Amino acid sequence: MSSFWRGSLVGGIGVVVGLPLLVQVIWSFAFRWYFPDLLPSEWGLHAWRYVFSDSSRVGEALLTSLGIGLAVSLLSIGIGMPAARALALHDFPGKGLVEWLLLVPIVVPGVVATMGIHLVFIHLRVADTSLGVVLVHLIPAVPYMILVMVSVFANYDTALEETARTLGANAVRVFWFVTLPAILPGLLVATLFTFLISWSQYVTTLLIGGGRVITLSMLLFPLIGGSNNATAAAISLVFVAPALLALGFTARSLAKGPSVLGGLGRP
Amino acid sequence: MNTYSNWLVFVTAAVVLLLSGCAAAPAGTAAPPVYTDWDDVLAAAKGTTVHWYMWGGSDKINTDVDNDIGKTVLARYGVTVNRVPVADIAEILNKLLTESSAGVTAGGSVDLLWINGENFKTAKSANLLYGPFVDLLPNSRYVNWDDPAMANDFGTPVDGYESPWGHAQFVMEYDTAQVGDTPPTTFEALADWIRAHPGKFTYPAIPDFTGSVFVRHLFYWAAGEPTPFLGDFDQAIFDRYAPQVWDYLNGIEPFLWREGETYPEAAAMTDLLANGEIAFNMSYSPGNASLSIAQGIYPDTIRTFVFETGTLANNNYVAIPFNASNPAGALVVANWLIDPEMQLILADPARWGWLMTIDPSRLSAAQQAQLASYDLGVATLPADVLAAKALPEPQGEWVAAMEKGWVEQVLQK
Repeated sequence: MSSFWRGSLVGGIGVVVGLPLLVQVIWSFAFRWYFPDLLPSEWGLHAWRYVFSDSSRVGEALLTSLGIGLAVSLLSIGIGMPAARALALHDFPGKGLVEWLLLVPIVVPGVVATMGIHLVFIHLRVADTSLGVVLVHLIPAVPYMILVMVSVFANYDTALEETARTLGANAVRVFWFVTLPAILPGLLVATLFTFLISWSQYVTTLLIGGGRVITLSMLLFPLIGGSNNATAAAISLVFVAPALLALGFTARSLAKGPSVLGGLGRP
Repeated sequence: MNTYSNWLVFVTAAVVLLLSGCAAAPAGTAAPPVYTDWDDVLAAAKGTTVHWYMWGGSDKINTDVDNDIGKTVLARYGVTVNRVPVADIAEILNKLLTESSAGVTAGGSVDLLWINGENFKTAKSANLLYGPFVDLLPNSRYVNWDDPAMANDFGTPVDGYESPWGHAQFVMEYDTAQVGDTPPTTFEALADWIRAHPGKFTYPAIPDFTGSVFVRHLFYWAAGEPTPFLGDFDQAIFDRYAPQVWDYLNGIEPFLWREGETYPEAAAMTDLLANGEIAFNMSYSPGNASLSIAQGIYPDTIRTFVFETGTLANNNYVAIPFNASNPAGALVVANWLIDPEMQLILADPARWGWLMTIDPSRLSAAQQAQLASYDLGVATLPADVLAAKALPEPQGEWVAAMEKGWVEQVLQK
């Protein structure tokens, strides 16, 4: 019974995610496709030829997006994991205020703050640099890291760590052999979230990167507003690829064990 | 207190100190160099990179800019063009405004902007532009600056702060499979057609600029001439003609696509016409229909027409920001854009399919012959037919008043 429901769930997700993607795939190979034809009347490779041409800048943008996304993910772990642990396992004065401040970036649209941030970044000399873009992506990314990790740590028992310490393990070994394995599934999900948040940023990248830092979304957004559906579809597919990989990865982690499922519901 | 909260407090304090300390650091204050001699410009530009910010919504324009502009200026002048695609150049003006208020008067990231109309007015009035520079460009002699439609960009005097690179004129696109070979070329005939064919006509919702220009044509139609709208904004004149325009638009509204309950975006209009769901589209690019047929976006039954009372025309320009790092390189690119050789490529329907922005009568005999030899493509009107119907754009305040009026009197009624 449980496997039946899980199969239905996976199938449902497959249809919801897959069908729009199938349309995108067809569009990317379409040359003439008008209503009410079910399939294009003429096919062509021009959209993909553009994607692989120098003019599309897709290659360099892909590398830039990956690099920035990885940097944002790693820094989010560095900032968010200790913060989440503190919030989940300890009580301290002003905890409510800290929690509220950490969630503000989710509530307040990033665009509102980005203008002021741009001004500060100009003075810090990080405007128009990849570093500046990484920093501004951290603002929406870190709260998600913390949200997920707080619920992971809320289900976490520090007794195991204490046991390891009494048996003589140092802090690094405790983290590596006790803490990390316990929180790893949740940490992976949170890392993927932050990576995808960075991956999909447009306005913040444009303002802080100033056009010098070209990510994939910087190429995609103008083309979506253009009139050539085939090209927009082809670049969307390149754009959505890591999201799909992430979804597949998350789904596998979810299927593996109860630790993450427990982590997603805060008790 | 536990160690984690101590750590948090420490980091917060460190960040605050860092920000406040560095915020006092001065930014670059030296303004970009001003040139008086073209040879100095060429020498300064050699080996540099120009960061050209432009609308990046067309894969064709992106590729054409790289091939016909980027490669040529690199080969001839040693200038590398880095084309930066943006969805809306207004976003870049916001960035320049922020840099202006931060005192970043040099070393900016933008060297060249594709700009016109309201954005130019904003940039010029906020002192965001480098110049005047137009007189320095040797190829500026091919531009007819005596033409008021060239010397004024939507009523804002150019004053040498931007240089043209393409001409645009509004045309109506229609599907001969639905409309036949004789489209309605007056607003009266168009209204009759719309009433006889419910659901087959619509226009993009304002503030989309294509929807906005369609409404501007109705003001010119109501007044019978463009003259009242070319001067400064006058509420009395506006009130005299506006009711007739709103009556027209409200009169056809029940017969529009989806009974006028919603208006599409400009990009969606392309799909609607391609799919035969509507019979008309409108474009600022007279060559767009032919190009779209060649690109497979439109079926080959699409043709174009202009209204008997004329259609609005304007120019695409390039401008250089006040804090450009590389004004010399930007000047070289701006000069290449109005080179007769480049303009002939631009006007070639098989390559760019744009309208030439320089004065064809100033070309050599051989160049004029080349221009005359072009095959326009199935859906494009000849340049002289278009030129005979070209109307000047009104000033920005008129456009703003018309757009506001449309929202209040048509959209919300």
